[in-house]
Amino acid sequence: MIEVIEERMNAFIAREIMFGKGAGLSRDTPLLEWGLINSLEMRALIAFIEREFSVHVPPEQVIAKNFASIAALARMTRGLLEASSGPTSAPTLAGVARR
Amino acid sequence: MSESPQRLEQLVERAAMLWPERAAVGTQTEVLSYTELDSRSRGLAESLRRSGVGRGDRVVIIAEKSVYSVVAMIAVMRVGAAFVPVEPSNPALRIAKIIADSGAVLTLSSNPSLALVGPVVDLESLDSAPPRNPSTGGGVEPFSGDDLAYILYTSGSTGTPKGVCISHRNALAFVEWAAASAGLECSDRLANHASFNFDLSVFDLYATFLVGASVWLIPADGSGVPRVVAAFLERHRITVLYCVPSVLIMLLEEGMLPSLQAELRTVIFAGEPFPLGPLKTLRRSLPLARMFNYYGPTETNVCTSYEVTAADLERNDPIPIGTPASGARIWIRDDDGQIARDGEEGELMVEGPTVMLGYWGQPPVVGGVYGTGDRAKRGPDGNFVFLGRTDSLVKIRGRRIDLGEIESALSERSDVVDVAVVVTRGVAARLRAYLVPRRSEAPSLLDLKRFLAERVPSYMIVDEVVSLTALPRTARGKLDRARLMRMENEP
Repeated sequence: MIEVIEERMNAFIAREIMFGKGAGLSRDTPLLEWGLINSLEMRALIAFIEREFSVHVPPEQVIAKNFASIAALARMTRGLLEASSGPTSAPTLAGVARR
Repeated sequence: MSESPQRLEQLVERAAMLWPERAAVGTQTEVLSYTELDSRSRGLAESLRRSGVGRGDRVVIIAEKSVYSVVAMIAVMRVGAAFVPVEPSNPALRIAKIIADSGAVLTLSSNPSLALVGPVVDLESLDSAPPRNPSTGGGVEPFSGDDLAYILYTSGSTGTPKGVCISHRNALAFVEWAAASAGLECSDRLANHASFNFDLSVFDLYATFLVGASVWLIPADGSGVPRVVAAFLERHRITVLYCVPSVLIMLLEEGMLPSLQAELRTVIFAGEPFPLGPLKTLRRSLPLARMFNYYGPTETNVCTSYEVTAADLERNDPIPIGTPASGARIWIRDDDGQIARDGEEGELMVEGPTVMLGYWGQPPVVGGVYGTGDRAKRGPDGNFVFLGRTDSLVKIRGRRIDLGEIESALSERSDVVDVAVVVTRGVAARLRAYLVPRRSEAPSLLDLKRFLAERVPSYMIVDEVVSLTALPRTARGKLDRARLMRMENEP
């Protein structure tokens, strides 16, 4: 599941933040350090995550560690998905399964 | 101690005597009372003295949003030295440039990797050292209000940041004016949004300490995300907020200001023009709050102020920057160097107690007069109006960026023949680099970002890149920025 989340995240950043010039963007590209994400992009990413995966990103999750890379974003998103679906449900989550 | 403090650290010493138990500075996880702020900074000052730091020295502080950073600033001033606050998000190379340029004797940081560029002391370890002799406070030493208090490094056109040198007297002239003008009271709870190398934080900290109020540091990570800022303001029942307009606009867009109106009684903004539409929305969202539009470059701190009232809801032109503040004298110099008449455009000139001593390593400001490089005029109602700039200095979300610094960094690349950086204003301001590559294959956007990340702070990293075979030049060979801007949609 995490790969699916990373893929969607990568596509969004390449399209909306890098305006289609995302060549070389990988799961480990340092998003904050290389200035790919400033405050505006951070807000766009939060809106994207909430829309795409039907989760809520609470203020305490908005920390640099969670936005450092696509891998980190996906980890946070998966955590939110798991928390919102409860401990017993399988990883076939509405947000991810939609497409 | 004399009634009116001559130095910034005396504000804390005085507050600790008058209001020992009151909260002085806090974060999500920690709060220091005035007594604690006083004794901790006294302890750290003692350690600094033992390390040989003294009057006239500079100490770089890699300033995280923590109470330690505030303790460190006060401590450095207590030994008669000046502090140089640097945002932790700066790349090591730029921090090294600042350490070298300022000739700092010490760097205080919680990041040990900086030890490569000079002596670094871990803030938290030093901080816990108890004062050896609690009776030797900084206040008894013959330091002067004319001493250097801090150096704020701003973007410089040559690629090396410029250090703006501010004395205690400079800072206090602003702080005392601002506290009175905004009607600060000891019951106020201020939020600190700006980073400590940004002069908005001088108000947040020292106006607070002047009146015995408390200041709450918004964590840097989420400072651009409305829900984080709103939750913080609500949790700490903030009454006074000073920030750049873009922060307020983002809170407005997400509808997060009305819920704060019970507590938020004063809103101050500065750093860039506030667009009229959102400003009216702000005025309507907080109908009872006082609002001030401050103006002033780092070199002068706030030198004009305009109070925004309900009457401004009727206006159709941008709000003015107002009338002189902080004891400054303001005039417009026309293109012939003469004092302009009302309504005539020219450069905004400042003379007064807040004008910086000068740039570090350069001659002092001549005659105490500073030419801002900003175009402005004085309106018939006596209010000054900001019109723009003529050089390569730009503001993005209130951050001052000299495009020359980015251009200079990019021109270090061997695969780049020529480069120009512009700001595009679409939905949001973005930095776009136009470059002439040496080979047919241009460096990728990610390549450039990685390269810049080692040289400039993250807010100066370009967002877009366009390759050209040559940059447009005027007949005299100067870069034709106007034509370049028109080329922005034909990459």
